[in-house]
Amino acid sequence: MPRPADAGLAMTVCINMNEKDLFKKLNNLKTVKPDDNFKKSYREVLYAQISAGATVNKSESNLKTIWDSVMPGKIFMDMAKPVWVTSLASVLILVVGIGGVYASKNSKPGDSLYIAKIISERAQLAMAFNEKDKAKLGLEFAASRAKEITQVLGESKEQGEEQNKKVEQLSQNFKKEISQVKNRLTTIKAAENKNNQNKAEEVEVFGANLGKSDQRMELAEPVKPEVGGQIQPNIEPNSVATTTEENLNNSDKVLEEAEKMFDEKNYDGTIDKIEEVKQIINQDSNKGQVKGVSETATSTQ
Amino acid sequence: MKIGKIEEKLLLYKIKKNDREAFIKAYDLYIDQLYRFIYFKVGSREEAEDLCSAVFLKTWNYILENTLRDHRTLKALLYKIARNLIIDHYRKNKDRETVSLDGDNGVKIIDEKQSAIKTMELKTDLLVLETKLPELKDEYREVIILRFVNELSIKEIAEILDKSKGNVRVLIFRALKALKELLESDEKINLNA
Repeated sequence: MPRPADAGLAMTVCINMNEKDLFKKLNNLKTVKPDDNFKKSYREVLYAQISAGATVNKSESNLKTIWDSVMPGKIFMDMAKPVWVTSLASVLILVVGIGGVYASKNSKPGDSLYIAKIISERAQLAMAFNEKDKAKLGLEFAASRAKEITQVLGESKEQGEEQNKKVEQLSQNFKKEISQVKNRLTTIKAAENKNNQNKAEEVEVFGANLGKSDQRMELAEPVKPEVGGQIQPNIEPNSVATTTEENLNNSDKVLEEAEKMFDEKNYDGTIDKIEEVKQIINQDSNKGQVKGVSETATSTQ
Repeated sequence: MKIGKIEEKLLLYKIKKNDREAFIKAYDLYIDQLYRFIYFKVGSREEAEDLCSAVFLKTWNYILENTLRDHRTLKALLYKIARNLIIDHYRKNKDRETVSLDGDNGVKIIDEKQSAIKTMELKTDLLVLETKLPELKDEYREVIILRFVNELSIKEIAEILDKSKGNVRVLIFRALKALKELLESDEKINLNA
């Protein structure tokens, strides 16, 4: 005799079978289809009916349909307009700006682009964060003023008062630039001196520690034990400092010579001297960079 | 003939742009199932054909009037129009008492290569179902045809009937139960006889 649970299972199987059978039977109803003749004839009638009333529209390709549905024309245009206008305007501003700056490079006072040159010089100066870079830029601008004076003097069109006025203005600007460079050089010098002093103090502290080691101070751990075996590098910054100071003094001297030459109206000579000062500063900064690298190398050991 | 979802959307988009070729393609795709749906609801071959042609023409007019914006699928729109036309048809023929299927004339067994026994079995099954289906409540019959004969998804049926998916599931369950009971009672009567 089957247990109730078995009977239930058998019933479920029976129901499932019935359901499956029912679905199959229902699915067989798919064979119910319209008459082929009706389908064919009505197809033609329908085509004629829809052709009669509607405007003729050509069948489109699937790609075009997808494109149209994804990007309906009006929305696309609306979206594209501000983007295009903004991008075109920014490109135009960029091109005009860069072109203007390049074109103004050889301009002299009185030219329409001279103001652009001055503005770009100010911008360059504002973008430089290092004092040395600023000094170099100042020298460049001073050389540029000297060059402009030669250009103004070389121009046969302008004679007399107008020319003198321009030359005077340029001379004033030149002196202004040179004095600014001098100021910067003194700031650099002061900063270098301060650095050297700090380094020397560090060495002294280290020395004091070594000195006290005789008086049973070895219990206290040395502040920087790894520096213990490297007394030699302590002398190195001093030597570098002296060369930096020398270089800066040299640049001062050459700058004064340049000023003298400018007063003597030897503008080409002035430009050469300024170039010399620039080279000195460059050499100095290169040394500084090498020194910096070697310092980091030793500290990581 | 079956069609993918993306293909159907493309077809609908083309039809929205009054593409006649696309509409004729839609006719080829949906005429069979739509005819079946209407036939099982009205029970007459001629009436089903008439209503079928009316459905397609009315759908095209909808498109021309540009009132197709709300509909996401063409299939759902066709079925909705078919349902409305059937309701109108019932209203016009109020006098008629019962819905009767055409019997043998309404059913055309397509595959002639099938064996004679299988064809006979099929015919019997169809006959049983065709006689029992009209006895079902209208909404049960409708949902059984849509789900198990025309194999529409629950989502599609819900869209056609303007009901939630849950409601459609319940309706299908009840319809199946009712149909089973009808068939079982029929079997019992046969056995007793």
